[in-house]
Amino acid sequence: MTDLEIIAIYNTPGQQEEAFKELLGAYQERLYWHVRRMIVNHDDTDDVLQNIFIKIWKALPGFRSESGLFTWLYRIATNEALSFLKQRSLRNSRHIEDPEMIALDRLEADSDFDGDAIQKKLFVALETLPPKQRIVFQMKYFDDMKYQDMAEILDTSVGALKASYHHAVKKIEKTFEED
Amino acid sequence: MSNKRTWQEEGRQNNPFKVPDGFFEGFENRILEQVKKDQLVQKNRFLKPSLVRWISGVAAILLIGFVGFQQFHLKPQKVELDQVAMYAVLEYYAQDLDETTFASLLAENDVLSYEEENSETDFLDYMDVDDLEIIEAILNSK
Repeated sequence: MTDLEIIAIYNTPGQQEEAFKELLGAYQERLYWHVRRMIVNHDDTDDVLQNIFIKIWKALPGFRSESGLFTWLYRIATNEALSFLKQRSLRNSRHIEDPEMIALDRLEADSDFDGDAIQKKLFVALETLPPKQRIVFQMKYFDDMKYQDMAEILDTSVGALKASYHHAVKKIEKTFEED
Repeated sequence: MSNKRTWQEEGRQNNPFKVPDGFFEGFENRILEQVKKDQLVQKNRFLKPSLVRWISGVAAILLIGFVGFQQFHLKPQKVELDQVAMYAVLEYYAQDLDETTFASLLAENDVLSYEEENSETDFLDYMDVDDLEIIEAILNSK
């Protein structure tokens, strides 16, 4: 079912829940992976994803279709994931100064992560990036998203995104070159 | 093969994350249950039409007062035209160039300031109430 069809069902009186069910079916996995790559841990992703869909349900009556359902959903999901990362970063900064060590410990303790050495190093490096650079890198590198789509989702310019991606790649390259 | 080439080629090839069996089916049911509860709460919520009209009236008066205050008491912000023009030119080039070429157009400091200029304003909207409260608490503790 297309986004326009989902919106059409939602706008039919008495069909809001049915439309939301279709939306869930169409987007839950895509948003799960979008959030999971940022947050890494499955249980945390589950919590954040629940918040995302509850917010979507509550905000749907005010949704304006001209912004595009895909863009709108990804914007809410990105916002929630960034909020979670900021809060986690603040919690961690009170105890330990080494974010790389925290990320490595978290990854090694995670039974739902079975990546090889390169992937482990990559995700540890990602955890040390500022949240904005991290989200930009992930949307480009893993999702191969177009800069124009990313600009709409993140409400920023293509130039800012390219600069962010460039810096993220440089930092990750540096991490790998250190070995 | 260098490490740099390895991570760029292999870092995204296989998904390193596992998801518990049946997670997505269970997730859908959990969310739909919460939505039903939410609908029930909304149906039971009782707000008298007269109260809604009263609140709307007060809100309208406050809004008019606020806009009036802004019009007469706040000076318009000074716009740095040179900076605006520079970003417009950069944005024009950014559409067609790859990241490395785009970044190489600028000195390292320019790239940083360009990124920071955008990030501060663009991501402000992403901060929710919890974040602002945390930041406020940190500032107050200093």
